[in-house]
Amino acid sequence: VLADADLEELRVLYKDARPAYEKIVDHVTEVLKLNVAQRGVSAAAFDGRTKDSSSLVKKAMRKGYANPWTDIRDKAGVRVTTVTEDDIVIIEKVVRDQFEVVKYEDKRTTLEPNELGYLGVHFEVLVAIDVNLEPGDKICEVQIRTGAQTAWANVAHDLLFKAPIEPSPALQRNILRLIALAEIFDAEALRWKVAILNEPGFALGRFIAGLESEFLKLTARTSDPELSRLMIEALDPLLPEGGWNEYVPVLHSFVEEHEDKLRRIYDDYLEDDRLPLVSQPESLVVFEQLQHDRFRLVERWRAVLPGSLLESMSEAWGTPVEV
Amino acid sequence: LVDLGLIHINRLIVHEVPRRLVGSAGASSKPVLSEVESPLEDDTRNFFQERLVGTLANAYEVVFDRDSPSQMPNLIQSLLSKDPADFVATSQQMAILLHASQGGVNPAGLLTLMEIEIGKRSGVAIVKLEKEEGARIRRAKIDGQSTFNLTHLRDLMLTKKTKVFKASLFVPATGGMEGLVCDTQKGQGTTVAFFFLSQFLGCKLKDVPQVTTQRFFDATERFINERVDGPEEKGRYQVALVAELQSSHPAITPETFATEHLEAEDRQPFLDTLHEEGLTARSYPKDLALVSSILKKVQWNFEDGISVVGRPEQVGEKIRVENRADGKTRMEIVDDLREVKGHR
Repeated sequence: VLADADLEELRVLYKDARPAYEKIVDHVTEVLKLNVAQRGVSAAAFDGRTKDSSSLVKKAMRKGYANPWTDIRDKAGVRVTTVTEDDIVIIEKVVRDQFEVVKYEDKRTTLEPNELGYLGVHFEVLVAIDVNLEPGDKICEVQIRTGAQTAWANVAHDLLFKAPIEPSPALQRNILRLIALAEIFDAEALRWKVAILNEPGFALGRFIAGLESEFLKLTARTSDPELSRLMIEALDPLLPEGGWNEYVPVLHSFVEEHEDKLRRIYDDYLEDDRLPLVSQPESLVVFEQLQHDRFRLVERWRAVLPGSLLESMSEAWGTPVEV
Repeated sequence: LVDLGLIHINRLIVHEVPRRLVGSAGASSKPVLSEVESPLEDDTRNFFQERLVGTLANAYEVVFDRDSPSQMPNLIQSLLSKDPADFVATSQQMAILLHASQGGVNPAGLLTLMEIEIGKRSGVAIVKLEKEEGARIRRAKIDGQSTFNLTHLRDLMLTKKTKVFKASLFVPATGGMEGLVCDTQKGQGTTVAFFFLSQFLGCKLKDVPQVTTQRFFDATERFINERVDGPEEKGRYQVALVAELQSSHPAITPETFATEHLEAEDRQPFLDTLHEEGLTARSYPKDLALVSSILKKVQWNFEDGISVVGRPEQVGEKIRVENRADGKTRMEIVDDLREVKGHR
């Protein structure tokens, strides 16, 4: 049992360190947001927090740690909540690519077939940023789980683990068996996702929706979806076979590098009816192709689209082509 | 290098520069000067930006020539200094200088001075627009001061009665001024009209033509050997390189070379290779002094030590190269055998 003086020392130590942990949380959240979006997972939610002081002290008292400062690993924590279960593996990869993982636990693999329970994925990662902490203390816990798992975990946390009295075995079982609904929910959501992905026209629709989202970050403008459909179908041979998910990193890196130029062109040309394509999301694809391989773009354009449209766009981009 | 896509025109003024007449008629041949800049609507601005970009895409890089007596370098620098000179008055001086630089054979035109931004940098563009003889340019009055109606000018350009034919761009850069000049109406065998580049602008070409030509040749050969897979394509591109350099064009334009001679999938990698070698996709003047001896023959070296040397014009006729399905090369030589001897 920790002495009062030890607990007070822990509290003061954490009070001083907490701003550093807040920076760690912000950093991890930003890195995950950016890289998860670049892998085409746009619907994930990110929640970061530092543990509050009283929770830290109570945990130290409850768990009876020999060295609570080192043993309490979730002072900084970021939770990523996905819409469907298949996105978890993508986010796992992002965590491994971006941080040094010191601990990994997949709760899905720890349960027996006849057991029910929490199914999230937990990481402890070292965050090598410049904050006033010992290198080994720069730890952040990252939890990844689906929305359904989060819903169950919230219920279980409040009713099972944090209840003022321990629920009876019958009540405990009733709460635990709810996780079966969460599992079924996730399996059904994934099944429908796969079915939707295989619907005719979905890939094209997804591409246009993704482009529009990127376009609207640069300029607010209503576009013509039917024209977008025609244009993307026409330019399809120039785009990656993997569709939107494969194109996202290319487009993000292009927009990041040329953001000022893109904003300038949209400012100058949005109201110019001589360049109708500028007000369309697919203008991003045209500019990206003009930058990276205008020859292939010209070859394709010649075959399927009016040349004057591309000639004007190419002059606006600063690399005139003849079509 | 200047990214032309970043060009944004802030101000523009146009002066009419008539043909310079000689003899007694010369006294009446004076520029018609605007007294105020032309109002710039958004679509007109875009139109001029596009024309400027379209013309400068194949421009030559230039630098101020310290030996030139032209006043233009001083005027350009005065516009781009921290305390810029008066835009209208400076443009009027430029129009007078252009008129004085021209000979009797140079056609009438419109000198257009543009104050521009290129990203975060300021710059100026000086353009001479061709005006068809007899085409009347509509002038306008703003607060009693004379200027040009740009919408009318744009309409003339759209109908091809007026087109850009000499354009230049100057942007301050570390250690001096970055300049581009293009002349779409240059004479046979020249890159930019002498009167415009030297007499008027006080500039000279930045590149030493014989050095740039050799760098282009070396970079293109490196591309052929390192980035092109097919032996047949390698030979074809090498022959095209020799033909391009031996052609009567006074300049090398890599983009045109790529479009005319390379397969579609090889064009962008070719320009990327040039870029890696510090060469632009724009034009540079050609001079074969350093490469003429290596243009006469093409040599194929094979893995097992076999070498074949031939003249470029023999490829496809007496020398045929094919890509085999197993990745090896089949070469066929059809000629009268003169002799066989030991390699010395």
